[in-house]
Amino acid sequence: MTLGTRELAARKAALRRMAAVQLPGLARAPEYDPLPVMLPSGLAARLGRALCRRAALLGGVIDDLYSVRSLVAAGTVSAATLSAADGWLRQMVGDAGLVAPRLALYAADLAIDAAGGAVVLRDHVDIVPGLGHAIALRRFTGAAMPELVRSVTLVGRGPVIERWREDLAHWAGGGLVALLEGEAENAADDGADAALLARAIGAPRLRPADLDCFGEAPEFRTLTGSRPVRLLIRRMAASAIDPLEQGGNPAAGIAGVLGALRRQQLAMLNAPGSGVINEPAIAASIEVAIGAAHEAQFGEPMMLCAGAGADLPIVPLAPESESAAMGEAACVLRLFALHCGSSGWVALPGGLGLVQGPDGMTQMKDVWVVDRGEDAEMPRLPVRGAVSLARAATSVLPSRAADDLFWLGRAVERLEAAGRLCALAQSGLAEASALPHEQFQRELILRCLAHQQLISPDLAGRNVAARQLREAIRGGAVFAPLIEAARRLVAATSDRFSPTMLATIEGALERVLAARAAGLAELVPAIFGFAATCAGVIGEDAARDGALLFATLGQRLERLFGMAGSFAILLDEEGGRLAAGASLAIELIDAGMTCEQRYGGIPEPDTALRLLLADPAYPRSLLFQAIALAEGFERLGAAAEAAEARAIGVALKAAAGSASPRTALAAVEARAADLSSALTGRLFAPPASCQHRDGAAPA
Amino acid sequence: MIYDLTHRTLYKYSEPSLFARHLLHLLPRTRSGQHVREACLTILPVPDFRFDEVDYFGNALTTIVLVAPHDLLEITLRAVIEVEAPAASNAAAAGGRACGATAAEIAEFSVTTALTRADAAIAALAHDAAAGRDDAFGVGLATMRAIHERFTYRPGVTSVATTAAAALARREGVCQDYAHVMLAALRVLGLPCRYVSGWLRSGEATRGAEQSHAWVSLWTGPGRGWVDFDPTNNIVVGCEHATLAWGRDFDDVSPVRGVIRGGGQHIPTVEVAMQPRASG
Repeated sequence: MTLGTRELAARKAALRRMAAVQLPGLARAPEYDPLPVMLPSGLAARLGRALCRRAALLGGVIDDLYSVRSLVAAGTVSAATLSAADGWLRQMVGDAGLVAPRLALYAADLAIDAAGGAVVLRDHVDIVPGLGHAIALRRFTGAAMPELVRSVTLVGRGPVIERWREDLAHWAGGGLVALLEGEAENAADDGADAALLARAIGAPRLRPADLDCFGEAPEFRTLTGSRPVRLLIRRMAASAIDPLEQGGNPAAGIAGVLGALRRQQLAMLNAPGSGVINEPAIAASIEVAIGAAHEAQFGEPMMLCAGAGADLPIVPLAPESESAAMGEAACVLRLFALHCGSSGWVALPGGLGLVQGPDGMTQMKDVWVVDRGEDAEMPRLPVRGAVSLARAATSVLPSRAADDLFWLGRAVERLEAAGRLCALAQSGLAEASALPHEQFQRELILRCLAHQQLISPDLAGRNVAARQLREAIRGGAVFAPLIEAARRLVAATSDRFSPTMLATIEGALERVLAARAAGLAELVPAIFGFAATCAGVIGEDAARDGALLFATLGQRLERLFGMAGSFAILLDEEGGRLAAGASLAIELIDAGMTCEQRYGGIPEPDTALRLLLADPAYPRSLLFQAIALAEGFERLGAAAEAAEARAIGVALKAAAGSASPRTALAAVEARAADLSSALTGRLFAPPASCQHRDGAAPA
Repeated sequence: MIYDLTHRTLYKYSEPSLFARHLLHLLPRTRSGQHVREACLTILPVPDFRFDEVDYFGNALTTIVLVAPHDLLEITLRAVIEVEAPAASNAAAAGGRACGATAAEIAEFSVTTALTRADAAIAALAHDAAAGRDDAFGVGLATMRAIHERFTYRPGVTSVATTAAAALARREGVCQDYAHVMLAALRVLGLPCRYVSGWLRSGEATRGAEQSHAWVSLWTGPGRGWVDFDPTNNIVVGCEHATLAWGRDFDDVSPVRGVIRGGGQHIPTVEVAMQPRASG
């Protein structure tokens, strides 16, 4: 089988597209190459066996350092070096042991020469990067290069992954297994590796903000209550994982998590502190120790020893574009070993090939081991099967995600409302005359802009020149924080949208960002387009009671809050100019067409009030928002909030029938704000923590 | 000497604390020459969870969790502690662990920390004090005296986050600052030493009584073992001090540290009484 360079380039692009579709929300698709690294089965078996032995020996060293410390007592590891090591986590020392081995995930970066000799360039004993890519890349490569897959029989990874998942569940005692991610560690590849690993083992991805140690073990905050987490695959640095014991920002870690590990209420892979053996001064002495232990235990020299400067094998690299030529690059092989409970260490067949692409970026290649049917050394694992997996966890919505969706709804609506108000101001200020009713309308607009914090209150309180006001809003700078908030929340909620829906929303947001420099004439329509796009996507999902219901709630609540605030200014009966304000309010919510159809033009103030405030069927009326909120809260089982939304509806009906709605509308605005606070306080993330270490300052 | 000890810590929050998780180093440890006859930690409101452990340094460590809103937290230790004169205790334990130290312990207490990092001024102080002396005990005495002479005892001018270098630059502070400077100086000289928190007998003409106190324990070698120096009072510790906990610096043995939600402003108040028993 031969594929030309053009086709190979196309396959490479196809491979990356496949990954991008599977990983929505990434700024950049993973750098995959479709040409696998072929590893002879005999060599793969020898490497796998050596890898497992090395993992076991390193795990033994870590256990020793954190428990009996015989290596320190014997002088093998310098006590002074250990004490000075940044990665030495004193809080994790203890004889009692942990639920899972301190080292249960291991990878080694290897240089393999032509004769099959191998040198360990780097041990991964803390966070183990690349496992998600390694598992997923087999599937992606297989789909991108079907001709290649059909031509060989590969040693499968399925049995090893399945067995490992069972052991994870066993260590978790049937409880929840999750990935714990940190911001910094995720940044390297946009979280792609973590996302792929989470998907492979059916575990949710959690951040410290999702977890609380209320009692003995961390609990995962969800909208349906807290669920204890029993095993965390650690994807965040150990240095700040527990702000209570280690200090630092309380929001960056989980207070009490180290205590939960010590008391065997939680398992963590790998245990915090395992990375201490990567400290160069310690690694050198450990290398000698495990070499000697290997000889003593197995009667032969260790095959995989640490080294540097080895010649790396050269592997082919598919071209980056149809016009480019085939490339080649030196390849580091990353092989993985998993601790499978009573079966001990098991090597994952294959691994990742890491090469440097022409642009300097590291590209990943699948590593294939061809099954020749003769090798008894490849993993053949008994199935544990005694503990069922907590897969259902992936469908649980974290409080943090619901919070983000709620605020996304609010941010998009706030942005749209600001656009409407600025558009109203722009038209109201164009060629503004000195006629009393026009001056009055201009004052109302100024007050609305100031109330919504779009202009300085100074501008609202005096007789501002039209030119000055236009200057204040023309550049679109007033939108900058609103656009930024929407952008941040779209990114935070990206995993809640399908790839195509996310691309649609991001495209609309891109148009907003691109229109910023063009001024209001282009920016406001772009904002309306973005809001309409979001509303469509959100509405489709929310109708099925999906997670985006929270975005709908945010949208409705913001509309109720924002419009009530603006209407309280516009529908001010003072001075008998309700009609002038009502016509502005109709324009503000874009109800002109409705009025034309229903009333043949702008209606009398009392009719306008009924439409704006209390029409249950008109989607832009305040009552419609209150009813939608009540229904949404009822679907969530938030009875108190639903009752309050209905009570607000009653108040709106009363306001519509009164000659003086201003006070009632101001009250509705305040009640909407309270409703938001109540909702976020009860269902969503808790208020921020603070840390103290004062206690009794000695004197 | 037998002491009746009461140590009361009170937090008053300006707004209710909605959730709190605290680590307490408030139960006194046993050591050579100190026997804790009784020790009881009473916490109000009663915590929803309480875990008692021994930390890395061998100190008693208590974790408490309060999940209900509360606007004050009161932690009271009542203890009866028997303290012997150091010479007697060291002699009694000669050859044993109390008069020895493992390589790990010596290494652990030789390492500088963020609070005890030495600057040029501390290094100069250390080398001046050590000049012409070749025994650790003598160096300890000279260092203690040098710090005591340079420092003015002044509460309120430093905090628990003040480093040794910053404290020496001010030349004023409280017992924790004296201790941190002495630790930094001794570690410059390569001498293992530890931060000791504890209490001082009430009513004496010393500084630091009626509150938590801190001093320094220096490894002087196998003969004399660990010897405690109180640089705030310029004395070698006798049976007027009772040990609560030790570590590399204050951060290792902070009496109360916690993560709370809500609570607003809070200022802890501490009352300590360590009275000798007449019959003791």
